[in-house]
Amino acid sequence: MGNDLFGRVSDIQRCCVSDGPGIRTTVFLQGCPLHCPWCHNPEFRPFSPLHMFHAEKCIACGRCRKPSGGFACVRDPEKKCSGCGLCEAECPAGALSVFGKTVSVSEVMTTIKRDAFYYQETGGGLTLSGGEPLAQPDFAEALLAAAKREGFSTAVETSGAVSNQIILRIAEQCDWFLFDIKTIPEKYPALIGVEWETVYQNLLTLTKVGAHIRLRTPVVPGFNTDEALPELLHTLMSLPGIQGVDLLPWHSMGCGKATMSGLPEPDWTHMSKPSEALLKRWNAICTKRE
Amino acid sequence: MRDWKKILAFEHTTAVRGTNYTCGLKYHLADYFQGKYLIENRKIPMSAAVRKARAFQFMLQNLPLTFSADQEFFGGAEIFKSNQLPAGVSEEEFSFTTSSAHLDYRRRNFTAGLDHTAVDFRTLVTEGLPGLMDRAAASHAQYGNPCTEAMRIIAEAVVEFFKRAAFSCRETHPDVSARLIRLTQEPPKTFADGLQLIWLTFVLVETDGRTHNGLARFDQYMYELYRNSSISREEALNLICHIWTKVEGLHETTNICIGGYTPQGEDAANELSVLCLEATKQVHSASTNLSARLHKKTSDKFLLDCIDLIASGIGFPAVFNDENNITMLTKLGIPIEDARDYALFGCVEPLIPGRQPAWSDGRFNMPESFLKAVMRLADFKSLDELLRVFEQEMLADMKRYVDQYNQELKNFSPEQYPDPLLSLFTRDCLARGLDINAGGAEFPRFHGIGMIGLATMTDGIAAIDKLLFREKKILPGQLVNALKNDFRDEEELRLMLLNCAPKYGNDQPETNSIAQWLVDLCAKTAQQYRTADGGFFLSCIASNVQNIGAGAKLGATPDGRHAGEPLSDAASPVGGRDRHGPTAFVNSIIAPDYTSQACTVVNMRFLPDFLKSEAGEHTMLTLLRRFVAGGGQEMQFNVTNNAVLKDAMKHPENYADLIVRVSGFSAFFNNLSKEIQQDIIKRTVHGQ
Repeated sequence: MGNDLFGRVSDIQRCCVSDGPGIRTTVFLQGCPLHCPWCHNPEFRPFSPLHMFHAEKCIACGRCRKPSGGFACVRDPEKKCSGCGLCEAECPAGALSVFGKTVSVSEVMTTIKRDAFYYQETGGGLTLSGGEPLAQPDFAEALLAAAKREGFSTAVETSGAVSNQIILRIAEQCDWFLFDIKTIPEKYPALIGVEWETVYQNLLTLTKVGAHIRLRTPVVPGFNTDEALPELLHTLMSLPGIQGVDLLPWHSMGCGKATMSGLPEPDWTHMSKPSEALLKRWNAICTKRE
Repeated sequence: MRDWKKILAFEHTTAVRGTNYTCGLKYHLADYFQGKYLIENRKIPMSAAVRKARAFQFMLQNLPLTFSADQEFFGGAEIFKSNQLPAGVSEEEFSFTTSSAHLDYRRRNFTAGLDHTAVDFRTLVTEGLPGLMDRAAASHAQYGNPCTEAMRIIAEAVVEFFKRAAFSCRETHPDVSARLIRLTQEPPKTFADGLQLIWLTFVLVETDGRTHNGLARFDQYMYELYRNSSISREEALNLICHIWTKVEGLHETTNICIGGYTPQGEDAANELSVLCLEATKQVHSASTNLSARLHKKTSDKFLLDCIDLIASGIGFPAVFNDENNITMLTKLGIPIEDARDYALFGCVEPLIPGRQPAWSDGRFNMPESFLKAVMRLADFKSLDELLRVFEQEMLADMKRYVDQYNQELKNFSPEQYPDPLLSLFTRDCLARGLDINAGGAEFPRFHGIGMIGLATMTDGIAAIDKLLFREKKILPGQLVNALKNDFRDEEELRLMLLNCAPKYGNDQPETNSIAQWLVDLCAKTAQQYRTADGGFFLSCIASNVQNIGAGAKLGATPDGRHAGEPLSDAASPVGGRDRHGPTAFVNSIIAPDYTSQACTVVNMRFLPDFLKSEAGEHTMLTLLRRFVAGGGQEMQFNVTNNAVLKDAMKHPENYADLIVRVSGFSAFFNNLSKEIQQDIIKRTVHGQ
């Protein structure tokens, strides 16, 4: 690799066991073009970097604002976070987390490679998540390619809300797609912020190029719990390459994170966990046989 | 059928909580009868060895032969301890007769090698009591010294005791009575006979004021008898449960070793190993300290069986890495076949069972030596200079430790403090006609030096390296003063040490290499010395719970730890500082070279639900494979319950490394909102 590509990374989590086969390292890329009202990682949504402030830990030492440090941006709404991460590194209290730091492919790979043993033993590897990882297509492609060169399995968790060329490029480097079906087609533009046709065509493209796909659907009562949704999933299940569907019940993990990151807090008041009965019924519909 | 569950219920009632080293039974009858003999015969001239043997013999002639209806095997705490005084003996007379203040039991202490050991079970089940008697007689005929005479007396006394026991239960337990008689006449031919032989012998060793002995490689020396007996799997399991129940009755840590390599280097795990896991699960005792030896040839099936028991939350088995330990033993000159036959004693202590003097160990407070060097920080221009001075301090402290130990060992000379009982059951004492502590044992003594505070040290060195020498954010004088004053008015500095430097357990190259350097230094420093009797001083990155006591006495440390707080536990990262998940944890704890440490303890915690899921079970399997392939030494697992989670909510600072399964994903407990935490706690806990 002559030139090392850079991208904006929100977080890296090691030893993930639910993001594709085996033991995996999940790399969350910063930024998502959609506006799902239930988003549980609102701090990963902006494309520009930002810092999350844990007020309860702050000891008001002022180290983060020292002008000499050159990072007086902290908690100053007039100044934009550059993602340099200096405030996080300097904070003695661990009260600051910066998301969307600029990181190179080789830096990310250094972390990923530390768990090579576990990938080889379990068929695991790298999963890209986000945000929408394919919104940084060059960086995503380079990461996947680098992981492939090491012999690791590769996976991408995507909403499918990207151009068809990007999907084709990524499919070359990716063994598994965790592909979101977020709601029924009619609701896509208003609720999610993308045309269903874009998502659907990308899914079809993937089925044609022989990708392994798992469908993933968040279940948010009152927002996407239309009975047509499990029927849609059931229909999609018959496409070639679709290995299964995961229903992900809504949870309140995202609450408060936007506020801590200086973002408008989504309206959580009408959201709730789906009932066990609903999940059971939907699962039955998704997997029924004709 | 005799029901071990009834015995277990009884054994539970005899436990006195909070006393680690004694069974709940009040009167130590074995001490009483030995004392009685010593008092009555104090004027008769005898060698120390023979006097000890005769006292032991007298004791065996007088111990009560308590044997309850549901017991399948004769022997247990009840034959040498009781809540009742012997008939016709007053409280005063009992305490006078057992008082070691005026009586000379000639017992060695733990330091000089008394217990934490095993008899040579392999030879015992092969040749039986008749074989033992023959060898004892032949040895005495050949050497005719006090030691061989004492061993012969004990061999005869043991056989007589088997006969006495048989006579006493001829009506209540005719089958057991017949078995005990058979054992005095021939080597055991059935699994049940073998169990009675090893169990009663084990108990007799315990009578002599010895604790924390092991059953060693139970699944190996019992396997042939198991295979040759026409006995079903269920019957065998039932018999093992009976033995485990009696282990519970001793109320102390009895190590039982399963799996590992055969002396020829093949996978030794067998059906019996699995039955041991099952019995441990069924009996659910804290005393059956099961140790599973793992290696590259260990099957997935056996690993999964181990994980199944670990997931039950009992904390067993602890896992040991043969690849590492066998190398460690052969580096000391132990032949490979014997090295492959090692077992664990007490907690994690390795010995070649029945072929070495008893284990002993002490503690070494590493951060104490380190602080002496740190206090002179202003003199040093580089981290290297600091570490050179630390090495000198540690060497000087180690010299003091070793000298003190050797003086203690010399105070217990084999002539004045003979041990004919262990000698009789230890390979080559009879053939050499020598006491176990006078060169009778096949291999030399191991004395473990438990090095306290590996991670406290690692984090402290990493913080000084980064913040003081490289980034120069802290001045030497500032740090020294802050440490002296326990960070009074220096909370910002303390938090910097805590949060702005890498911490061991997160798989960072900086901290991994510091830990590596420290572990090498421990081995190098300890192995410069030999015990007064030619044995080995071996460092151990294990400290039981003494990290708490050692920390209580120690001032603040440069990792940001306050004065008086516990030091890091054994070879584990500092609790709460490892935050990058299980793979980063395991990668860190296997980074040092453990082939020169006698033993290591690494504590790792999981939530029960994680290990019970298929993904969790397979993750665990892979972590164990990594541990074996990567050269770890020991790991043990805490699988946490709701009480802990509730405490974690109250004191999150102590639980930063607790991982929980949430829904479609796992997360660190502290990263979850209060609501989710409560939600998890509210979920039904099945199987209680």
